[in-house]
Amino acid sequence: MPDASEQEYPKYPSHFRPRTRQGWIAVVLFLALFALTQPPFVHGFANRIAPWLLGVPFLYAYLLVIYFALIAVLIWAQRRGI
Amino acid sequence: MDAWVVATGLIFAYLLVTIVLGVVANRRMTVDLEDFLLYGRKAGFVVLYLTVVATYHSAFAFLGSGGFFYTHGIGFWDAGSWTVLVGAITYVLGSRIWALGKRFRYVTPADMLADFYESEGVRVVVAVVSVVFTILYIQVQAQGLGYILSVASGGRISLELGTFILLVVAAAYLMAGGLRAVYWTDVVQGVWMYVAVWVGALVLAYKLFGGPLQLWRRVAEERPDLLTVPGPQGFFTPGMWFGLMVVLSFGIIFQPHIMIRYYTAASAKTIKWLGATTPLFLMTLYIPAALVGLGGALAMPDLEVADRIFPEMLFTYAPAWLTGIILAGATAAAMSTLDSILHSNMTVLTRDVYQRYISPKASQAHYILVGRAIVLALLIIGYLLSVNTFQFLVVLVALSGAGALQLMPAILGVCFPTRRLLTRAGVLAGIGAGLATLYVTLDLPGVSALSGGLLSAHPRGLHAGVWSVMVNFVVTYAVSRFTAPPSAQTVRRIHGEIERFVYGDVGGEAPS
Repeated sequence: MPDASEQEYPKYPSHFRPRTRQGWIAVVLFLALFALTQPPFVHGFANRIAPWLLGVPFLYAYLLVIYFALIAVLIWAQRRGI
Repeated sequence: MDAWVVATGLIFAYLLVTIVLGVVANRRMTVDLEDFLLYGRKAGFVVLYLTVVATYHSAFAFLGSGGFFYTHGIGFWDAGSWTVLVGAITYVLGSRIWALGKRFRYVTPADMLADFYESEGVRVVVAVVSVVFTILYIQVQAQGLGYILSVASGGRISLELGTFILLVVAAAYLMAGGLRAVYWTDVVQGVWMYVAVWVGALVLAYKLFGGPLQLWRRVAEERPDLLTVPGPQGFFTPGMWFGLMVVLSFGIIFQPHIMIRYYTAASAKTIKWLGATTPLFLMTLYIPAALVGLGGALAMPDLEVADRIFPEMLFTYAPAWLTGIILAGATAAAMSTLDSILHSNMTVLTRDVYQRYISPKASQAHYILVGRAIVLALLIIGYLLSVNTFQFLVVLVALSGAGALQLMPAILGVCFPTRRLLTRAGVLAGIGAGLATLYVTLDLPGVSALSGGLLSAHPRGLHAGVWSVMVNFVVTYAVSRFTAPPSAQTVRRIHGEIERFVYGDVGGEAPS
């Protein structure tokens, strides 16, 4: 029969909140950049053809740049051991 | 030499390569269930990377994405957001699933959920959701394969025969070499499909428009409606943009053929690098797809079936040898998903049904034999589904994309320790409510009539998958407030392992 301490529920801090400064930076940066790929930004100010960037329409280039920035955040997080 | 001979010959040459790989994998295999089902949990970065990306991208990515750009314009570039999110989910959640799988020897998603929630009911429901909502993909991929072979041969090989040949080849190398054969063929398939899409799109862009940048200029001049959202037909509304991002990231990740791949990684470092870098492949595959779809809208504006834009343009404008190589790439995209779904369904049925309830104490060799028999049965079912059109299947395929999404609260409850625990009653009620909501918000047969026309598909423009998972979360948390959680020992064992893995020994290996 398990002793009393084993029958108590452990109280782990929530895993939805980062516990380190670098963890916070990675999460906030990723979420902020990701929000820019979603409405209302995409259907608002980014929803235009001009100005052309990198030789392609604005909306396409805008999203392409943010997608690569998001990947860069993931790679940075991995290199930092987050 | 006729174009169809070259195209068909190259596809058959590709099939020969996959069969040889299956035979070699068979010789390397040991009589061990974990080796047959999970590659012995030894998949390194390159193999795991290519199998995950090849499995994620199916015939739809190869043919359907060009069709989407052709019809709805730049809105399909939303694909970049869900593929980047797949990387982030793999990084954060996949590594936790890997850690628990290695520590507690999980083989299927149901193993993990049933263990934490201490419930055979959870095991059965998760197994059923896993199989039902992915077995329909067998039909979709098999039909895609039959279509590719039929197009490549100029109609000389019928859709039915093409489907049969390619299903048999996929099942044969899976039965011979298990997951090792699937992984090795996926390596070839992943590289082939990526190179094929890029080469095909660039050749067409230079031949028809003088280059990709000139193509974009021509689209802006002639079809500017394709370069903004929601697109010519108003498809990519804010609700649909957001909903597709949720359904095609979490919804695909939670399907067993992806989740099982997390268990097979050799180390935590492997799976974190996988998460950080898979979007590079997944997202950039849609760059040439945009060139194909948007260029096709100018070059062939009156195509009846938009999904045929890539092969139609190849047959019209590209040399025969290139068409053959690229259609073999399309075959690779469909087969790499098909074999993975066959494997995952075999794994779930062998492990969660046969080994659990029918014959718990048989030998490893016996289970491998049963697994092979299940593949054979799935092959027959897949073929019958592919060559017949049943109305209810159309309904179920519409449901399948968001079906696995209903496992989300339950999986988060296991992998993310919080003060508020989810319960078995909560997750079961949540899954039930989510599936019911999905049926209603997709406006499936009977709903309109029963509601007197009040309900429509994707209410208020928000994707049905999002409605269903929101209801699922609410019900799961509400029911969990009033029902018994898993035992303290189980919570300590599983959440303790997650705590140790994430914060106790960062980047380290779980004890075996």
